[in-house]
Amino acid sequence: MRQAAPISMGATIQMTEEEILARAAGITTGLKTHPREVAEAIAASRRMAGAFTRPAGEAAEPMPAYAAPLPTKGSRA
Amino acid sequence: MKALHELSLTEASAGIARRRFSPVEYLDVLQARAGDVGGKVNAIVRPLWDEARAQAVKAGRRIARSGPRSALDGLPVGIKDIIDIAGHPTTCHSRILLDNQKSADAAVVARLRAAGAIFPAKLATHEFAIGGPAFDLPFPPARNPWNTAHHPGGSSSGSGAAVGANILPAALGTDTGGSVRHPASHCGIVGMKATYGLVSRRGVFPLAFTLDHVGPMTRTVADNALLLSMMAGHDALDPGSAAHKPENYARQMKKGLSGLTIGYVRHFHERDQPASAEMAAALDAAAKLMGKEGAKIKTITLPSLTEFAGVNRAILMSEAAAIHGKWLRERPGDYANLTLRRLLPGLFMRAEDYVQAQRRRRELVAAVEAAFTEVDLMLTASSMDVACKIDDPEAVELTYPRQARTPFNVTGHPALTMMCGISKAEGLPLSLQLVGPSFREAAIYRAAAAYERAAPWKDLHPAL
Repeated sequence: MRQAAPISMGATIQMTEEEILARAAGITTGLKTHPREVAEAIAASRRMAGAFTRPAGEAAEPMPAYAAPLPTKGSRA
Repeated sequence: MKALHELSLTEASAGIARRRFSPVEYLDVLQARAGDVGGKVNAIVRPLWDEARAQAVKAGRRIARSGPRSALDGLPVGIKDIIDIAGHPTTCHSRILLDNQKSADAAVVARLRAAGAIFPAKLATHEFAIGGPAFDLPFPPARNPWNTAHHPGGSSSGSGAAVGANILPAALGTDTGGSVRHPASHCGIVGMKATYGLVSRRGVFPLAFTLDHVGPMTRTVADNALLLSMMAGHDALDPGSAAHKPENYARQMKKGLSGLTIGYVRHFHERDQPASAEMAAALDAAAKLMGKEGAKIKTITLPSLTEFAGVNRAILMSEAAAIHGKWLRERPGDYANLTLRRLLPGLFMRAEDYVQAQRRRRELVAAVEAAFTEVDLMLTASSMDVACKIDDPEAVELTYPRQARTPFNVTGHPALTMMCGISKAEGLPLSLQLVGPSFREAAIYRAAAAYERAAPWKDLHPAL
């Protein structure tokens, strides 16, 4: 379904949802040359995002944990 | 008596050390073998025989003068073409990187070179270690040495095919979602994905930073332990490298299975992704044989394969998109269509999904760690089916979800695959997987070697 999407201050252009998502992802060449693959990729990414259980705890820490770098040999202090 | 090209790495090492043949004589036999059968399996994308011969001459002189530098001195190792060898391009089997000349060895290649190994070939891969067997690339896809109409597995397809076809005794592969163990399973050889960080990734073109591993592929368990012993070691320039001291991973190999408790993860191949009847029967037979050899076999449960696979995909896609984003946006037509379709979804993954996958990953790691408080090792399926036809895209597509290898890329635990039978219907290898706690590769090799001694598969080779 085509819908209005802003392209600059006050201006809109008719685009499909796929075109909007592709442009948001920085894909312009692929939209012209590989539109079917782009559409499949959008569908696939939705399936992938829903393919595992979300941890129940809001504060659950992701892996790998971030760790501050150890002082390097060139550190001045 | 075995022909020289049939010797294992360990046997060739002994032959050279005892002056039965020289590194050059051995290499010449392998080059002739490549000439005879190489065109059938398409394992090699860049032959380096002349350079390897010069290295073999030097090794021969060195060994004659002062003995071998190591058990690998003068021995050839094939290198998957996403791993750098100084002076040659790393193409990743892609037209995008045909001129990607490298001036330095990957850290793992440098380690092997220091041990005296020589490098006669860059080997085929699925494009960027993710595509699949594609026919619209600068190089043809590798084929299965047991039946060249079939898929060799991937992405380290050329490594599996070269070792399985007795062209080379050993090769390096890489494994992000099972890419060492998949071709090892389908080509009837031994493939190890060691603990994350045990082998340096520096100089290896990345697919997904937190899932990538480099692994040895060989025809025997002893060879695999030997090669890993030479590959492993801390690399301060690889941010994921583990500060773990190098070990002799073959040290426990004669101990046998007595005293080990092996957790059999049956639900992976019985419920989550039901395996073919032959694969399931071969796994049960392997468990029974391990029990007969002294192991205690205990059925255990882990989270479902679907959970592991979902987390693997979300992380892999997101990290790969960060690597390939520019090319995907600017030159999508330069990828094989299959690779493009595999990589493009990564550009649409949300940051939240990536972080959620990394949170779920921590829970999955904890679940596997908890299981290791009850058992020493785990036995699981590797592939649920034998290798499919290489020109059947739907069947090829199914080989990627129908497996139990990705869980251990997600968790980082070491995992080895090896042959556990031959399918009666197709004459293709069946396979199992042994998994251990982090940095307990020696225990995996111990169990694998005991199984290899007890089972009748080790002397079977494809009739090319």
